[in-house]
Amino acid sequence: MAIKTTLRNEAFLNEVQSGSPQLVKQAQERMTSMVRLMVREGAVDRQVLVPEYITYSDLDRQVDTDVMVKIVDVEPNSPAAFSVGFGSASPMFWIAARRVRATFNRIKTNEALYDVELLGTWEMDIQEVIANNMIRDILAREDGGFFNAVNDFVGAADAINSVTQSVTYATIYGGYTRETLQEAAAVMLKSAYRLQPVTVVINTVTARRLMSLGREELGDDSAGRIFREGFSQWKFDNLNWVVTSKRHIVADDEMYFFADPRAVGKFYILNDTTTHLTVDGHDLRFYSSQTYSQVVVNVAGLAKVRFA
Amino acid sequence: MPVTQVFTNQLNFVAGYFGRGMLQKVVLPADNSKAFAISGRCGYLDNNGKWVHGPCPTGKGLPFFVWRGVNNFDTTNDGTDSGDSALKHWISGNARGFITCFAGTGGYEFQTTEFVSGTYNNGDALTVGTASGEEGKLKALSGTLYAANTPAVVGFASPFHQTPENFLTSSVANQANAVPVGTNAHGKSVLNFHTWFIPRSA
Repeated sequence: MAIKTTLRNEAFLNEVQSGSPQLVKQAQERMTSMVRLMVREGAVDRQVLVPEYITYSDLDRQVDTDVMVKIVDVEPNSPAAFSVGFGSASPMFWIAARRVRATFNRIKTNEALYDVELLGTWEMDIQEVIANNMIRDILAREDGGFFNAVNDFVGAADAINSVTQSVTYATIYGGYTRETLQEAAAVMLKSAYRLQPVTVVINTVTARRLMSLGREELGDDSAGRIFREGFSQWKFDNLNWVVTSKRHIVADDEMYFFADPRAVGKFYILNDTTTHLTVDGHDLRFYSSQTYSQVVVNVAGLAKVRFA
Repeated sequence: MPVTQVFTNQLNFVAGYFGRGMLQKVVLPADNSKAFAISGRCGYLDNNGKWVHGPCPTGKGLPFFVWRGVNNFDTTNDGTDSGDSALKHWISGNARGFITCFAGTGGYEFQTTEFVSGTYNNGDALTVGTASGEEGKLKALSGTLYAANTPAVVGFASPFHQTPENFLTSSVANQANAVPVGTNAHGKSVLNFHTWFIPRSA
């Protein structure tokens, strides 16, 4: 039997009004658990880079900053092998590799302020609404930051990247066809680093346009299944297709291709999304925050395509 | 390459820090001001809401003092090659260049490492430099307050606090509650001031 929302709000109100540190903490934890659940289900970037949960003991202290830092080693480059005549000595090379400074910062929502006595006047489940709104703010910032970094790396459309010696942001002409889709998936393959795309991120509008492909393009009955049952029936080259509704981050007719997460970058979470709640007299204040680090390291593990 | 420390470029609170609810603003620096959006420097917000180093132009306000600047790795961490800005070793997804500033409306007494060398007396009006080497740094106002074309004032110099017991040099002992410029506990020369805003005179 569903519990009437006003009663749940009243229970929440009683907890925060009690003045008992235990009950206030209980109210705080109830909000926190809901927030964490939504993070796991909702973040687009977490389907591209797998977050690693670390502790303060995993951090690397720095001389020039008191900000939390984790140093990440990057696979070394090395000279290629070559044919030599018998008795020839090898040229030598001194080992060197890149190191990446993954620094942490915090995402915070705006701080909500309310009068605790007004909590009981709401019919809706106000705790749920609050938690959902705050998690949307944090996820939007996290996804936005990640895709900004990716856009920085792939650079301008149709320009040759000096590292990959290939185009990392390609414009594909001709709309959605068998040929253009294959061409899009081949953008990453043209890099000197030979990585394979594993995950593709598109928005909901692009997904609809793909769903309009007919039998003559898809080649079997899947066109009918996709039309009737939705994008979950879409299959293409065993790629993991992620569809986001955040059109302000992933624009219409854009596709982001990502290699295996280990070949893209690092995503560390030091303090996962937490709701901080304080009650002072009649004032109820709370906000959510998250402390994390996300670095995109390998441009060869990225490809962006825009269908013109 | 010289090694910096967390206190090399710094805005510090002497008075007025009261935590949540303070007048602060998280903004991006304008492209031409990015290199100068360093902790302790001062600027204003342009029509796009971006921080620009220097004193507020005619008819504009407020001054904004940089608290967390581009010298802080949680703000800016782009991994760009020092010899080739087009070559990126990494790009942070979380540090996106947003600096945190405090509005110079009064209510704060600050201490900054970012000021133009010179003579400062208590109560001297302060403005902001724009010349090469002075970008966003505080400097004494030359000219007369409220006279035509007098630059915007962002604060007034106040006595530097240093007790002789933790002095670093023999001269520091004479600086206790005396002149606005002194050597802080990290051995850095700092300027003490109260924030106050007087717009540029037309």
